[in-house]
Amino acid sequence: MNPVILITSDDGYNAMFQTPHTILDREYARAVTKAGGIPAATFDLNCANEYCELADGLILTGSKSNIHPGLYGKFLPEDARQKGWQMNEMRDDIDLLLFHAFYKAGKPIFGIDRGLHIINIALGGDLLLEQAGHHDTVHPVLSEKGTFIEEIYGEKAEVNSYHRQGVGTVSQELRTAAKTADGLVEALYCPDKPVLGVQWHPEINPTQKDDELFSYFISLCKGGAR
Amino acid sequence: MKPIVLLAPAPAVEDVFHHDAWVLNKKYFMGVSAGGGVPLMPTEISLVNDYVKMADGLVLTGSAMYVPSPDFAERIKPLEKQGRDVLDAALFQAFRAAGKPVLGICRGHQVINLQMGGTLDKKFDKTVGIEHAMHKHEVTAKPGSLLFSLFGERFMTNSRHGNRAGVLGEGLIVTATACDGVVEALEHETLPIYAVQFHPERMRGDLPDPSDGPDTTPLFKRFCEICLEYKQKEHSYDNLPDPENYSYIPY
Repeated sequence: MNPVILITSDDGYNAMFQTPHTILDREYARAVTKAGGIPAATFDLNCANEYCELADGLILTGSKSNIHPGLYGKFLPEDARQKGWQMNEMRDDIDLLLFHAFYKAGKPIFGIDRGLHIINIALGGDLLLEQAGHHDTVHPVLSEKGTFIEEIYGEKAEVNSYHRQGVGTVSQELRTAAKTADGLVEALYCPDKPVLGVQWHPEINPTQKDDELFSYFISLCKGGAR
Repeated sequence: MKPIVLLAPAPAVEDVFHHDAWVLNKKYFMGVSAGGGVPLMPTEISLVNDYVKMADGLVLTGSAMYVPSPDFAERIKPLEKQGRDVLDAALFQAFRAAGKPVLGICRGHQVINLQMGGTLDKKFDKTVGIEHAMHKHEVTAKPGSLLFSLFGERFMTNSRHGNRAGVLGEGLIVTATACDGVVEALEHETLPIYAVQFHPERMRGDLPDPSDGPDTTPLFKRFCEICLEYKQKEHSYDNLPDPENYSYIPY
């Protein structure tokens, strides 16, 4: 059987049915399926170990919610509400629980956008509370030599950008795989574990390189070489 | 050991990029989790035969959809007709073929009846009998049934539906009714197939719906136990449906 990929679903509220809901952007599931994985989504706080046993890899997805700054040693800005910050502490807890379960088991983890941020803060790094000029745009990134990003995308790649926060201090467990020309971290990886993340959304209007990135992750989940 | 229980999702358009999405009331996740199962949302019709092999049980959930604004009302229709309807039917056929337990809730209850050859009574007459839309009522359970064993003969449930089961599907037995005769629960004569017209996922916790109904956590517990009992059995995957060509009765 192909590898089972657990995908974290987002949190929301359905006014029509007055229900607290969880919602999954199907682009993530499509990208996983195309790369040869079996996607399955979750929103649960109780079964992290069972998910880790069941699944061969974990994808931490994006969201409109920001991770609570208290989780990486900073404070919620006084004007967060005025600036339209959305937060979701249950989502933070679920993502972190799953990250630590899979990390401890040595199973592959792929963070996308907010997922990249989760990986960095879970391993002791922090975030930039605000990052202007990166919402709803496209920009080049420069690969670090010898990393998975260089291997897949080459020296330079054009990527989409949909974020209002960014990676700040990089965790000591992680290495940078790509940056913008002005130095913002765009991709991270763990040198001794199958853990990687990108700031862009490779599942949205994917290029051939974006597809290859998913295929690379799925190959890790099959136990392939890093 | 915990059973893996699939929760069939409903169609949606998500808020951020307005992509096609799947949505579920979180209370389904909590119900399965509280019942001792591992809840999991399948997403791909093409992979149903993989999902049935990895999971121990299936919950066909109630009607739901989510759109960021009314402008998306038209876009959600094909997601329901070509997405949800097919995924529900395909998952049910696969679990039935593999002899694995299925619990239908509300729309899922009606889907099971349809797929077993019964009929759906759409938008039934609201001027007779009792109110079934966004309300509550008593149900009467049949002695010997799953519901009777958990909650007794008579108990209150929520009621949130505009369609109902019509002619019964093959092998299905009515195990609970409302006072106006609406079929409120079904069980199969021999297969581990269960269905309820009400929403047990909303009948748990501190603010249950309805407030005078039983806590339905035992229903999720019992279903997860049944999933575990069946997990121990041998399963044949020889008669799974063809993922390229599902034939099913449209909802």
